[in-house]
Amino acid sequence: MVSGLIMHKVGMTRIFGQDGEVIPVTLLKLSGGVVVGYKEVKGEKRVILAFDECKLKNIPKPIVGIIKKAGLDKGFRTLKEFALLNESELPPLGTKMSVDIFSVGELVDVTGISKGRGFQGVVKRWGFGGGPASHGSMSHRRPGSIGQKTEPGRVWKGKKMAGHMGMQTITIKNLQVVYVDKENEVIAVKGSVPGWIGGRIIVKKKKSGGKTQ
Amino acid sequence: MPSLKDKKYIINIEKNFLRNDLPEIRPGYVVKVWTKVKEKDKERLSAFEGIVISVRGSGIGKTFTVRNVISGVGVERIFPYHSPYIEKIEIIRKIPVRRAKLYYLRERKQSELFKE
Repeated sequence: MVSGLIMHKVGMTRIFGQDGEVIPVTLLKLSGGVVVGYKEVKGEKRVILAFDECKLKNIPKPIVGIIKKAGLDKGFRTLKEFALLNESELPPLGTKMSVDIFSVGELVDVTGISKGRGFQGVVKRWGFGGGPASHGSMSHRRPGSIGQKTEPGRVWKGKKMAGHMGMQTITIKNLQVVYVDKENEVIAVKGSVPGWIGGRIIVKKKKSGGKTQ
Repeated sequence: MPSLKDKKYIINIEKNFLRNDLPEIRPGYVVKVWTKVKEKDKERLSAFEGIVISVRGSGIGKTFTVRNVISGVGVERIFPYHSPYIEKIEIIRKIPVRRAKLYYLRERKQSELFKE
């Protein structure tokens, strides 16, 4: 069993839980997930999986070579290594991974690239309070002082200032899988997931097995 | 990769949770909503009667608001239409209305609430 998959964000909806409570969920869809190679890193056996089906002519030649070597005739845009959780058997080349490696109730970590927000001020980017709104104040959304006097005589590194926000790799840990649809290759995780609709999301199983309390 | 912009996959999951055993609800209906209430290990039914003043949302997010005046206090309850906690909905009367949202009923007294 592989330790994770690359999926795509489909969007959000809600479902009803066992006790009738409303659960907000994000749907994630798998595309591809075919074994095209193997690798061993520090004694850990890994499989190389190919994701994102597309036309063979639209992908780089080096990837075409790997896919051809695995004996496939479909194109895949993305390759990624994933560890094998039970090392005993290596899945043969061309094996299609399924979303049923995830089970309902399991906890997973998801990694994605957050939505880009462009150049933002300190109020939106870091949650600064801003200045007074009225009484002659002209410091509405300014950061205020950014340092001390001659000692240290400079601005600390890492000072929170305005700048480019979003478009960062963000990992959210311990999202619960609440629904698995094997037929459509869709799973639903509880809560929100970084990124835009159609964005690439890495879903990883927990090493501990991801048992819920 | 098929386009994810269409709502196919979302609708596909939602339809597993939709209720089609309940009657259609419209603003102006006087209804009695029976809900399951959990008390320790037991489950009992509780009813709420009133006039539907709002139906909003579609699909699994559809909700409706029921208003009544109980011992002089105006009470509004919002029910998720597809909630598995709704046991049944009885339609008692259908009052013809000309509006989709009957918020003007909030200004009315109990004696005038169910007037046509």
